[in-house]
Amino acid sequence: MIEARGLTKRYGETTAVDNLSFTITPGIVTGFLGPNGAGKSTTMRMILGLDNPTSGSVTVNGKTYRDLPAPMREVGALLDAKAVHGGRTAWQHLRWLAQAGGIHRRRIDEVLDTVGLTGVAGKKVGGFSLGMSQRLGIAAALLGDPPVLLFDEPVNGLDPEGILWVRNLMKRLAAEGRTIFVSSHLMSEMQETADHVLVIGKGSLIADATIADVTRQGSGATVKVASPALAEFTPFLESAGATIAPEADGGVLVTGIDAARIGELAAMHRIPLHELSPRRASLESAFMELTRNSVEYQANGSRPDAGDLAETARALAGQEENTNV
Amino acid sequence: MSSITATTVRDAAPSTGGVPFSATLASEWTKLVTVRSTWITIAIGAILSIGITALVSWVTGWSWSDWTEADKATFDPIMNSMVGMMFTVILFVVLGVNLVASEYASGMMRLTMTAMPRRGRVLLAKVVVVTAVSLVAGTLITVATFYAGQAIFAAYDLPTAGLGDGDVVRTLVGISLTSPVFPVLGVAVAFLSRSTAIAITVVLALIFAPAFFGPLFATTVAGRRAGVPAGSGLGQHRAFQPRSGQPDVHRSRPGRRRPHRLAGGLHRRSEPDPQPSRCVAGKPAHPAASSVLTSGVGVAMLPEIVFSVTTRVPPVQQTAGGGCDERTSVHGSTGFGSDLARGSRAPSAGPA
Repeated sequence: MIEARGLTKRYGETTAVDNLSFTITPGIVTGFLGPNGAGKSTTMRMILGLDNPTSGSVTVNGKTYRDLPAPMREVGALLDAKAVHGGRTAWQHLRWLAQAGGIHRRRIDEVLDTVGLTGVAGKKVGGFSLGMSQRLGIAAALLGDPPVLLFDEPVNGLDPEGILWVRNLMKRLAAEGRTIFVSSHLMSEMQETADHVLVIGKGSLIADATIADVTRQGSGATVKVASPALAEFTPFLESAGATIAPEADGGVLVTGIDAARIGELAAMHRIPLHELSPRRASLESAFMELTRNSVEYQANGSRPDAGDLAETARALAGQEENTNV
Repeated sequence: MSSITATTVRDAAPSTGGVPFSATLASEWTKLVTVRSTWITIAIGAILSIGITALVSWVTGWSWSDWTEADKATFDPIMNSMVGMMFTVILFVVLGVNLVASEYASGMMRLTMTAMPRRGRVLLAKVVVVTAVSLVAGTLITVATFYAGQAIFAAYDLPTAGLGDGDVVRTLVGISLTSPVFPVLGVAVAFLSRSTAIAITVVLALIFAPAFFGPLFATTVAGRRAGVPAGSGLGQHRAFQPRSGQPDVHRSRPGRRRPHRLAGGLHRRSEPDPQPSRCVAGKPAHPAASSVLTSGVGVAMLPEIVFSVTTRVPPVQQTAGGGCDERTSVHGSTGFGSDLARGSRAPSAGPA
């Protein structure tokens, strides 16, 4: 369980994290999405006590990180897999870490086995590929057998087999009742792994919703329509409550009404259609749409209700319309 | 009162419980001994120390026939064999700096701090392990350097010293005990600067700058103090007191070539003395002392002061020449090594 309340971090004039409040619950994988510079790393650093919040607080299992009596047994973290001393062997690296966390050395062999690095335990870390380093970083996070795990970009540099392995590992850890918090810029990866996502942009929370909500909102909402009589058709669509955005190829993207309704309208008004295709938005496009205008959001001072993604997306669409005009 | 104490302890208990300090200590120990650079650094320190001492001792033996009788009389086989230790100091600074700054460079410090968020404890653990290692290594290197010097002195039939001689144990123990000062300074400054280059530069400057720049200030002070009766000031540099049995050899033989201090006073070449009988008065005693007074960088003098305290023995006899020592007056300190080398001249300058 990770809880942030009004978490804010400012560096001089810059606000890296702006009044974040969220609760990350155990038993599921929670994704943490945001473009570079959105404040993901700063948030993770504050969770781990590496940075002090300017205001607000974040607690792990009810305590701030620095007050945890044995932090490695409560929180495991993978921040930067390459931030190791290349001269130590994998075993030696895990050895000092285990000692620092007050963890029995028996766990070293166990986690090496879990991540599949037993064979290279005596090899120097400096010679590891990025994928092997990621596995070592995950092993380090698992050392204390902690109920809360933070992973920053865990699939970076992994081959497809490795990605599948991480995906299953995280799902398994969540199924064991642990709190799993994973940041990633690979939206498609989150779609496969996460049950819930936090989306932030410019330090502010944009969405806090289930994956299903995010993708459902995206899918079905947009329909590509192409017609030689588009100019004639547009007023009918608008009167039916649709919003129309022109596409580069001469077609339009219609939002607000679904494909079935558009087809009926076209038949009713004898409009020939060349294309009528619902755009099944991926989490990626939903994410892009969500984060694109986060600056305007802050300027207008309108904060989206964290749970209500549908409203958020509509507001965003309206925003975009306004800025285009 | 007791209830306040009890409350404080109870409040503090949750944050100190869980992981004991011994675990942090063990972790830092593992870190220190599992990287090759630790051993390479110590090995280079040992090789340089023994090597430089061997080289200087060899030059001393080789040039011995050119030495004046007075210089031969004041030759101190103990401190003259310790000249190489200066390089161990540099390598020990590197050792301490590396223990901290390399973690910042690689980003591994984040891992260290998430494993043990109480930073003071990590700092203390690093200080303890680096103290232990540098104390053991420093002692071994000191003893090895000492015997390397003695062996070469013996080969040239120069005076030598052994463990049975009065000041040998005190000198070796003093220098060995000083060894951890340098890596600990390195650890502290590296924590502040988080950069290897900055930390090494700052620590070496702290250690050596007073020895380099101190004499400049000392000269100024000496100039201001000209005319003040010698001996009424901070005192004479004891190491340069001639033996009471052989007062002022140079003055009694005008025109005789007088020795010039070079490389910490160990290698002497001869040159004519232009003013054999002139006495420059009021030289402040010890370069360390004058540096403290004039530069105000007290903390930087710690090593030298420790050396002074551990290796110097009072009292000093005033010489027939009114306590004025030509060599001290004309030549200032030539640096840390010379200071080191001068350290225990006094004992050897006792009544013959």
